[in-house]
Amino acid sequence: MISDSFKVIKPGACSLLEDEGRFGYQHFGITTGGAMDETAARWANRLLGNSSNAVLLEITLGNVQLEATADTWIALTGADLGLRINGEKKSNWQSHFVQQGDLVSMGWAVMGVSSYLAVVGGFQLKSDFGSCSTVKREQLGGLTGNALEAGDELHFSSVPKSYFTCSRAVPSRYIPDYSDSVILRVVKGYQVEQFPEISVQKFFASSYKVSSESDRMGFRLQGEAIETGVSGLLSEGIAYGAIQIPADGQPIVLLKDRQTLGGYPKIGSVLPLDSYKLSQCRAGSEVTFKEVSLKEAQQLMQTFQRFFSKST
Amino acid sequence: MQPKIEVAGVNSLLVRFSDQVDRSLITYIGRFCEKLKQDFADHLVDLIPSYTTVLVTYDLLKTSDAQVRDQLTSLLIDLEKEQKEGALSQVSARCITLPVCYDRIYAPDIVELSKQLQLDIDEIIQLHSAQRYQVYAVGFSPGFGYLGELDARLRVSRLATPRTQVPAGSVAIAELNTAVYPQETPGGWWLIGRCPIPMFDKTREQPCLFSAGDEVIFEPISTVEYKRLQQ
Repeated sequence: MISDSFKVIKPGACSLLEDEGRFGYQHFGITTGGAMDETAARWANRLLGNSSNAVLLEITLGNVQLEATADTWIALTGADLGLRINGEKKSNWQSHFVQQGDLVSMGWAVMGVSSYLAVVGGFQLKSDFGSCSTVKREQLGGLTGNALEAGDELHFSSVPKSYFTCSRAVPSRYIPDYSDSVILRVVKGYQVEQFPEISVQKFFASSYKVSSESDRMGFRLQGEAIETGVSGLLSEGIAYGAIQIPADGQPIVLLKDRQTLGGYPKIGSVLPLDSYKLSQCRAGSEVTFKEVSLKEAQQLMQTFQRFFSKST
Repeated sequence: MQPKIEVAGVNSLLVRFSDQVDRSLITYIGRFCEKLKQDFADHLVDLIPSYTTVLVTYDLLKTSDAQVRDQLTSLLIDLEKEQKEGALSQVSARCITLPVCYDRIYAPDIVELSKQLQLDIDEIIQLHSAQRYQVYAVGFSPGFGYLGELDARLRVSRLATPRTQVPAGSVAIAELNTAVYPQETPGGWWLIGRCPIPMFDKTREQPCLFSAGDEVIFEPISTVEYKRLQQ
């Protein structure tokens, strides 16, 4: 029953089918992947009563047009793309009914980087290693291991308008503002003890700019160079949000498509909630760091995960 | 051995067994990962074993930092006891032979390398294929194995400027290691040959050709043989 679909008219610059990620295979060298901004992605699924792992479309910068071949409800969150259904303007961070034959159009994002388009029940496709997350470098997930192309079909199980009594919206207090500069809370890691104290102070006192050479693997930052005094490390596993300091002293925050092993010194790792925010930052955005205790960081993440694991 | 448990992230701990590469450590780490998977499967999200460390990522909704630390500590004590009693069961290591064509067309760096190392090309091939390597770690990209250790005469630092694209199957060396690039990726190692067998194939029951602890031997083959095996 999954011949119902969205036909891709315009695929956008880089639109990827994603879920929460591919876990349990990092010992093969397979990265986790997964939605870059989990906050926006989880809201999109929540608006439709989906599981938080339902497959949705991560749209980078926009310019996507889809044609519905069946009825369903959709939700769009993240960077505002000026969503239109058959030319009629619709709100971001909200669910909308889409009828067979409707044209769903999204323009370019003015602020922020990623938007998330969810459909009731999630998009239906075959998984690789337990996940549908697309990782282009590994040719895993998605329809073909690649970004969407014109002519692709995104399958779903159709639901009628009566599936919901009304449209649902994210309460405004939860809608983030992507124009702000971000403060990244950092859980200090084990190697920090080997860093000169002055370097650690400099790191927390400086502000950095997001480099244009940032992608799903990691965000490169430019600013005060940090001397680590650490060299010749053996490659070791890399945690999500790890802040790696290579020889040039410019920090790199490693994100969803990070390599599994690396040998650069790490000052700590960014609180996942803040890594999601970082992923919405454009080149030139200002980033500063602030320490957070492990205990507080764990409580914040537990609250986030519990909130989104509750059924709605 | 006194392993250390260190914070790596909000839900990750790094277990550090040593600061030095040690061949026997790979078996020990392999056994540690096996036990960890048996005992705490539902709390674990991911495990990344490497040369001297294992990154343990856990589910924050099912366990906590303190609980994982306690579990890791008691597991490490058990493991130490097992080893002292000589009861450390062997991780099932295999020996895999990989054919390599060292022909110049597949070895863009071999001429420069022979100058730098002051060895004939034949000597490089001979030294590279005479060794029995151990898989120290799998990672970086799917199926990429860090194989060690290279003969001391073949040791060379990484290329000053990494290539933006290394062809899949390239056999490469750098520092203590040799490896076969499973996919076309960027890379900074010296390319000295090409292997026709895919290192990673998601359709195979065992997608990676080898895992940490296995042994690898390289067998020189001709260009004709390479092309035949590639089909």
